[in-house]
Amino acid sequence: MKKILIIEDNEDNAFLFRSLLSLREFEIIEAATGLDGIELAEQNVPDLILMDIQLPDLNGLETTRRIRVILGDRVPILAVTSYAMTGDRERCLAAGCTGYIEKPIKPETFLREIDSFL
Amino acid sequence: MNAKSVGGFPMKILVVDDNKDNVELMKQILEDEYNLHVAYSGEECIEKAIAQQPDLILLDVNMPDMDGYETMQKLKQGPTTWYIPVIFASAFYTDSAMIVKGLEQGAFDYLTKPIDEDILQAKVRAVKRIKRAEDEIRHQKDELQLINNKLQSADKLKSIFLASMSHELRTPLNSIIGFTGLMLMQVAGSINEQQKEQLNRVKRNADHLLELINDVLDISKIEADKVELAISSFDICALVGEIIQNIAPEFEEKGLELALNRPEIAIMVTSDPRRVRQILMNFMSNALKFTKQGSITVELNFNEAHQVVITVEDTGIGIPTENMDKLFEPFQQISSDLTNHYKGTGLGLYLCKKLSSLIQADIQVISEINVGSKFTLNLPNKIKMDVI
Repeated sequence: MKKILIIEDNEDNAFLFRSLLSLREFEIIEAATGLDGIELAEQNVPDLILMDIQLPDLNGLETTRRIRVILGDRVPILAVTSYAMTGDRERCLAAGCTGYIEKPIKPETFLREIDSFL
Repeated sequence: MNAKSVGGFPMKILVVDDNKDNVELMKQILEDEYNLHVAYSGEECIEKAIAQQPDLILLDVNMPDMDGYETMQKLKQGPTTWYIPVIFASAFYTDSAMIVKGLEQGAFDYLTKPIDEDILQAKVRAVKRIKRAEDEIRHQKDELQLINNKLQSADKLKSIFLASMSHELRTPLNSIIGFTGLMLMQVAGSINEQQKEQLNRVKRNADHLLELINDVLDISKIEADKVELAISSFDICALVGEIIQNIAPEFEEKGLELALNRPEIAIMVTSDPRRVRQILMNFMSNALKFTKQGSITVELNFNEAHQVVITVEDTGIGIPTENMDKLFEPFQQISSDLTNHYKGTGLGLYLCKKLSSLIQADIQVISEINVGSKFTLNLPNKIKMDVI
């Protein structure tokens, strides 16, 4: 079973991702802060990480950079963020994210996007 | 020099003359009403003018070493003395050429010796009046500068506020749109037709709210000059085809015909495809919104000015002539009863106009009530990079 780590501080949004991912056979791990996320990523080595960018301690960009240092390039990290200004996608990719999904997400296509990175 | 020196305190006058008797005479005439300072040479005059910033200098022309003309020249070149009015006084140089020379060098006025007390008093009062007006202007200028600074920082604050609001509003919308979509997917159990219709309305309104947020964000970025264009070379025919393919189901749903007339070749243009798409999507969704029956025709062609001409023509309700010039202003969706019927942000065409000028394109509209509207985008085939 593929492991997916959700790093998201908004419980409603985390619940939405959980609900969508539960349509498939995934093992779901969750963290609500960047630091917890890094620890869980290191312990569990997930198959994919969903990364919120605005987080209470470390932001998602810095969290991504640190996870990349620990796990290297093998785990796809998808930024899922409400930062939808020009340049935000580029900033996410420059920090080491593999892909970028803009919030609000489209539930109809969300799983397909996840699949394309697994 | 501060504004109070004239308003609240007696005017400060520097009397410059190498002759002590002349200085005494001036003192007698002016001392009661004005704050008098004295210099006995051109050098001393300049030193005191810098140090004391008098409101007026009464300058003798005929002095040993540095004469009055040279002194005045130095005063007019000094960064802290050039604006001090000078009245020069002389017994010897009273022919018009010498007077003109003094005035040309920047003197405010002149006096001839022997000094006439009344004329001296009147000329000093004239300086006083002008100074009061100048001080008033300077004061207003300072105030305007202050207001301008405040406006600039308020404007910056507005942009930051809008950007952060956009982010904050998207987060709850993620839950609303996400869970609505999830329920419509019926994965947690089936829903009946009525519930489906109700959820669809939630979804449509949430999508509309998202559109509004995006438009507001785009406009705030344009107004703050923060739009970055991503220029590339692309096939405009393919782009238009793609837009039509995406939006076709909505036309079908409404029973509207949708036709595309274009040359069957690739037409490469150099521009920002995202912005072009945004403008054309706006044309298309307006056509969809305001057409009850009939057809929408999209045409792609060239004109003599090396522009790609894209038109979107509908058979919709049309635009009243008197509202044509308001069309591209924000929140001006024509007539309130229509607004209730035809949901829109009221920002679409305003945004289109702003975007089109960014990509050096222009938009034209022709319309007839109950016949239809035709929106045209004239897009240069190559954006001029040095103008961006």
